[in-house]
Amino acid sequence: MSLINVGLTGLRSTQTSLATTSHNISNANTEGFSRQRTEQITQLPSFSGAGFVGNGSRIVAIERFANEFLNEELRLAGEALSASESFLNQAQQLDSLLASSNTSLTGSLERFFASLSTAAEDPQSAATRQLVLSEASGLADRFNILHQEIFDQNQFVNSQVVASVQQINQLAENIASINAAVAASFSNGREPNDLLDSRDVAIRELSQLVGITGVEQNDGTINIFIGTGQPLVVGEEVTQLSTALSLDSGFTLDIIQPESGTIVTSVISGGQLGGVLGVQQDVLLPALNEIGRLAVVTANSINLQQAQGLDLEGNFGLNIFSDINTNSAMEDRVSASLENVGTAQLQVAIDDTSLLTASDYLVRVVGTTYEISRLDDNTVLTTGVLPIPATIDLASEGFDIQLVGGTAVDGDRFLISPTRRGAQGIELVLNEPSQLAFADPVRSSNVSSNRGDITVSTPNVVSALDVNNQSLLATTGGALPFELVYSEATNQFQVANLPAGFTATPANFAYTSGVENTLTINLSDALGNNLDLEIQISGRPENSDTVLIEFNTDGVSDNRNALEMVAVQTTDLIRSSSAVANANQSLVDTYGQLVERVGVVTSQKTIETEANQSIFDQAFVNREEISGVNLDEEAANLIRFEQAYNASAQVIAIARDLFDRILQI
Amino acid sequence: MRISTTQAFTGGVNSIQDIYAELLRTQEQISTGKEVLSPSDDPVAATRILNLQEDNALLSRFRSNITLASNSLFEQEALLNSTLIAVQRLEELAIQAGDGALSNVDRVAIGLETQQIYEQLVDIANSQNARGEFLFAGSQAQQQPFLVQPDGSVNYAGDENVRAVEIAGGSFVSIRDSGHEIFQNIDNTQRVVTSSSNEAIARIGAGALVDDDAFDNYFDLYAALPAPQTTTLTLTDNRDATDLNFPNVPLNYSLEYSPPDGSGPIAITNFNLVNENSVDSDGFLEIQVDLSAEFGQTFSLYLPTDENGFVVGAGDPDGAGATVGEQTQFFIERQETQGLLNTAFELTQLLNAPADESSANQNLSDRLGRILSNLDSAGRNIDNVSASIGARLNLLESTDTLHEDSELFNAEALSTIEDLDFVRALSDLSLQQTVLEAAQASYVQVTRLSLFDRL
Repeated sequence: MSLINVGLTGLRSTQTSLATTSHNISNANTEGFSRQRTEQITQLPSFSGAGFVGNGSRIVAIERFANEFLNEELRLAGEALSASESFLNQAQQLDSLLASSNTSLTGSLERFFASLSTAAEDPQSAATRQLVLSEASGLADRFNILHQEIFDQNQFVNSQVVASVQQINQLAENIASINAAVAASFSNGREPNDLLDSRDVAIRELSQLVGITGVEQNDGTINIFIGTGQPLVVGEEVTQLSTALSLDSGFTLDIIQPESGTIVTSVISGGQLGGVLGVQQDVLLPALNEIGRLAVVTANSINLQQAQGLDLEGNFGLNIFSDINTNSAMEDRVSASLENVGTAQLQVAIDDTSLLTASDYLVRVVGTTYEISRLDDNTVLTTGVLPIPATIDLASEGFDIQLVGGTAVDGDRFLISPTRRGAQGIELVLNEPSQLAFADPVRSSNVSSNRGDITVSTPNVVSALDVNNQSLLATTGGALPFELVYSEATNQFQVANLPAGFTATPANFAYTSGVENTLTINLSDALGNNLDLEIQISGRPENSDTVLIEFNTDGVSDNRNALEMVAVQTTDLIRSSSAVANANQSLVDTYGQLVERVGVVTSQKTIETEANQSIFDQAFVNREEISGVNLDEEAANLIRFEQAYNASAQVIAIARDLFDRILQI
Repeated sequence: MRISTTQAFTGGVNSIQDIYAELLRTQEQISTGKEVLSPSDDPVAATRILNLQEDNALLSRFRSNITLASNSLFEQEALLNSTLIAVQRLEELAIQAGDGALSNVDRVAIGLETQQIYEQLVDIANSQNARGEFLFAGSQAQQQPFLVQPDGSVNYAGDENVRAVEIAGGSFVSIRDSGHEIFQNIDNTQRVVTSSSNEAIARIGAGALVDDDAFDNYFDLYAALPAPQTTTLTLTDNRDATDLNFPNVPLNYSLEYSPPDGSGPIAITNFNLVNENSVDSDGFLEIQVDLSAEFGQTFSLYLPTDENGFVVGAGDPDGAGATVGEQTQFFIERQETQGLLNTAFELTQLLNAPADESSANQNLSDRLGRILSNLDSAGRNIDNVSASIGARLNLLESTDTLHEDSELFNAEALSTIEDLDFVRALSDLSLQQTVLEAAQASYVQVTRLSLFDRL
């Protein structure tokens, strides 16, 4: 009878092998499936006088072709690829936004300054003035649009962060429940091949979302940690993640573990989450700050220049673009942490745009001192003892921090972003073309009785003008007109006939014939308002030669201030690095640098993504070599096992024949 | 090496996708004609392209400014040429009018022509361009700069500002000169203007400047006073009816002057008759006053005589109700410049003086001399401005040429960086196409192989 039994063991073994082969064939396209193989051994033989008689075969195990090392390699490659891909997607979008001729800032800047240049050639024409306003409006719109586009992109990144965190939680639950099932199987001493595959798939998917480390336990479960060892899955337990608004009020999200309250944002790297957080911190927010800075500098420089001049009606120029220090703008530059215990409210007033950096700043209260640091290079700028004074003048950074009210206490934090919303706030506020101030406020003339041969430049107001010192140049009640009279005896030009109540310092200027003499006259009134006038005189004056300095009444076709406005385009107005407090870049150069920076990052990430893609492809190939199903191979196995099955069946048939023969005796 | 079925399929598809992506990129390059499609393709080139485009935009702006500036300067040059012709004609007419053989009627006829030229000059000085701007008003181009006063003289209401445009980075060129520069700021060669309080009694000539230093020193004393700084010369007629027809100057006359500050009077003793015993053909007695020691000028005073040969005035023996000691005042006003239009007006006025007054224009040649030298000075001034315009036009032209070269150079540089090498791109395209077709064909071939087909 043993012959039948032996045949039966063969049938059983080959049946199992055929089933495993079919399982392989049907899962040829299942993601993460590892091909399986039956492990067949001989049954224990029976002992006879002649020796051991074989008792057929049996299947001891169904093995899974998986190499943990290759799986890990594939997982890590997927993590890196997904990180660089999600970074690249966002960076590319910004890259084309900044450089496309339809959305780039350069075109709008160029058109605005070209319109000013045209207007400077024909300063009293209503048409060219209107064009300047239209282009100014276009420039403001372009700033707004760039801000909005980058802001939207940033919001999209935030929604990706939220979605990623939800998926991470789901996958973590998934892995935890598989862990439970795996542990149960392991306690039975069997490896649950398909469960292990699907857990590998889940872990790989998790890896694509966030960088993780997995540690396999003796019971077959895998513990998953994120960041620098923050637990996500331990056995069957999941520590959920969630998101919350971070310190900068709406621009970024913090990822926290709600149970412990730990903020893990900064330790997260890798995967889609790491990629988008990276692009947000390294590309999007710096670009937003830079665009904002450009807007603030442009608006302020043009507004200041406008205040230096006279419009067609002879009034000092009013702001063309919205004031950079409106109350709401000053408040928007500061965001207080939601966890602040103190009541202090801060605001930021920008007072020198040439010193602005594109960095953010942090005000932190530790114990009884406050500390202000610049975040791009982590430099502590100033510290002080509480309470926070009414004004902290960060002269080196071009802005003041003002205390609106309340008090700060230990642990309070404030994030200061002087320029982040700059491009959002810029708008055209001047509507009347005639109010563009293209003329300078002061002019000079040689009086007709002059005998000498002197050339007098038009006077230039070198001080920044505001409502206070503009009063010195008022048509009535101002310090004009006055005269500069040459005295041969002292070889000096002397200020004469200055209206009462005003002082000119100095009152006498030594004169050198044959060179250009620059006279800088400081005019002041009793209230302390003052301004500097600069005038160049050359040639040979005779005694009592007089230069009349007067208000530029009716100077409608004077274009001096318009030329100064045009010069804003090429003047170095922007601080090029946090380290050095010198404005040494023009607007367009700064924008060009931003484009280049984003371009370089994008190009690096493109190369990195390509590299990661080929590492991933190679890891995939390596895994497939071991674990992948080859249908030809399975077809061959089918034939092999079919033949074995047929042969075992024949063994049984022979056994039956043998038995029948015995019965026929 | 073991190959899984999935691997065979995905590997093939992946490589087809890669080739396809390359093909599409080449196609996009060809359709746009650009080598660099986005800054990340070549960040350095992208920045350089931005710079070059910016540079080109500036250059074309400068070039359009140069065109506008040239037009404006040509326009001004044409007007200056007309002005110069007018000034030359005035000089000819002034010389002609100085001919002693001419009668008053002849002079009035010349005066008609000078009147027209004067009006033409006023028109030129008040020229407007197509936009309605007054060209020579400095920066007050909406107001007529040269205003004709009721008495016919002309005031300048503009200023001395000149409009400049930028023609190269930081380099500006004035596209216009002010009316002050062209028409007003002209040396008055005599440095004074003179007038008399009563022309019927006595006139004063234009004066002759003999000592600049003395003149300067004198007026330096009064430099702080506001204009006009006028020195008053007072001639007192001391004759009575018993005196001779011809006065014994200086016995019968006394002369004194008061400086601009109102001090004085200071008596003058060194004056004398030129031709004591004769009256000139126009019936004037000339007294020469030498004030060169005091303020560097000499003057002639002209006293008219009546039909009986008596000097008209208080001491005139046949004068009725004459008062001894009548005074005539002469005003010597310091004036360093005189506008061209005022000189033209003065000439016209001089020539159009009433013809019935027999004694008119005794001091004609004296005054004509002053006008001629002022016209000469105006002509030189216009020559100077024209020369400066010519220099500016040259500068504009050479700058324009320079910009044109730079534009060409930039365009070439831009093309090198930005533009696609079509030959290479097209050959790439056909290569990529061939590779893609081969990959597709081989993919189909390879994937069709399956052992199951043979079962």
